[in-house]
Amino acid sequence: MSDAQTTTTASSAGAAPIRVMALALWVVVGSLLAYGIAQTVIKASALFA
Amino acid sequence: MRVLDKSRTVAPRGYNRWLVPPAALAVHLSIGQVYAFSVFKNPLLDRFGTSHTSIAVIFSMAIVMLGLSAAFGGKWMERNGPRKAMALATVCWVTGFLVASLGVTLGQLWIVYVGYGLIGGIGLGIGYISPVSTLIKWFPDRPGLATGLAIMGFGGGALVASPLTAKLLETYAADPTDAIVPTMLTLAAVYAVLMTCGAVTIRVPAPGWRPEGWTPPAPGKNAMQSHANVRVGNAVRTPQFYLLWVVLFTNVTAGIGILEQASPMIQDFFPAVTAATAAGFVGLLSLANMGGRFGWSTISDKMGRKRTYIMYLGVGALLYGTLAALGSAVVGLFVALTFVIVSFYGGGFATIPAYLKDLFGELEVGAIHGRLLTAWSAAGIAGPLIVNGIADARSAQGVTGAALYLPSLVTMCGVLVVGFVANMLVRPVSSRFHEPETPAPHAEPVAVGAATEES
Repeated sequence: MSDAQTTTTASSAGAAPIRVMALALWVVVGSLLAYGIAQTVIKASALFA
Repeated sequence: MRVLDKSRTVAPRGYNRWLVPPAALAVHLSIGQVYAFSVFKNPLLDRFGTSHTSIAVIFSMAIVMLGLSAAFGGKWMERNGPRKAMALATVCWVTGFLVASLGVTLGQLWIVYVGYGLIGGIGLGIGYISPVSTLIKWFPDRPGLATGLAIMGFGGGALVASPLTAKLLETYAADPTDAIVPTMLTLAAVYAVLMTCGAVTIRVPAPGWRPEGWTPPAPGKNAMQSHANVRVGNAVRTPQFYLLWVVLFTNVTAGIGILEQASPMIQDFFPAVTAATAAGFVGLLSLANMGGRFGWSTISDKMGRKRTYIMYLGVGALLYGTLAALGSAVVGLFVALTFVIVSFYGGGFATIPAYLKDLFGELEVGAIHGRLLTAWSAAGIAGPLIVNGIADARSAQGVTGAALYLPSLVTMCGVLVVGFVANMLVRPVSSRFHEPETPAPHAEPVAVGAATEES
């Protein structure tokens, strides 16, 4: 394996945790947004009751 | 603290740009709590035994500090990168809660001012602008969508914090007054973790990166989109900056015209509406605000920024006029009109960074955005003053019902017309303000995510 390939492989391997963390953060922020929207929709439904 | 350096946040090769928005959302969802501050209002009134105005000052201070810190901190943020800015925002926002809770414990309102108002307000401003220029760099083809996504998070922050805060106040103690401190400490812990995750995961694209298959539009194809960059020091010398300042100021003031008095207004327009229904109406407007931030801003990528603001301001003025003339006829019409007006308010916030990028380029768009946010601070003071001042005057004259609000609605219509004119006067920035073009980087423009070896 050439030095460039080794460096690329190492870089890609090092990037895997950050990708996982970013995906996990999507789940967290998405859940928070879903919670906020759901709570607000419940509150807003009183307008139509 | 080299881990905070901009160089340490360059994205690795092949990094998917859709992994960047959650970092922005994490910060904006946290600082968006400020618009749920009113949940603390009654417990704070009971704790300090003071006037409504004294408690309202806490929020006002935070918004003023938001504008000032965004204005003065923008250039620092551009120089030092989004991670350092997000880290600073985290420290200030969380410390604001800690100091405020100390003030509540000691019964010293001035400490709450210093905490939530001053220190927290700095966190608000730096946090608000921290992801904007990064997102614009990642999404040069869709800046409206990118900034809309982040700034939607600010609106969403209140939707999350409002029920969460109410639940915590109810859970920690029988008397909400005794629950203020543990609630603030809990929120501080949650936001510390969330914002830190944002700071850790934020990435900037490598120099020369562009989305795969995208090339910048040819010069002259759309004259309103700059192909040059303008530094913040020059941007504030252009008429376009001040025209956009007026645009943002008027759009925000008009939105506040509804939001500031939504609950009492619907009950005065329609006496059969109960307090619970009015609360539902306020909730619906929150959804309109948030939806407008993402929806209208995304649409602006297709419509063009100037046309989008023609809609916000021109159609908005017509809607306000219709509200004044016909709003009391049918509750459904009233709700529909106010829903769209408030969606334009949210859209106006989210679309402005993309408008700035169109006119001034992306080099220092975050710093320019920071300076422009002083318009928000000004509107945050002027809007409630106009609305409450008119309401107090009309009330003193013995006016009741829908008539109480008519001068306010007509005034807001006029305010939007001023903004409309300002927007129509916006032209491309003169080339004398442009930065000299620098030779292209030695590395060839690279496809998605390819970057230096740093990660």
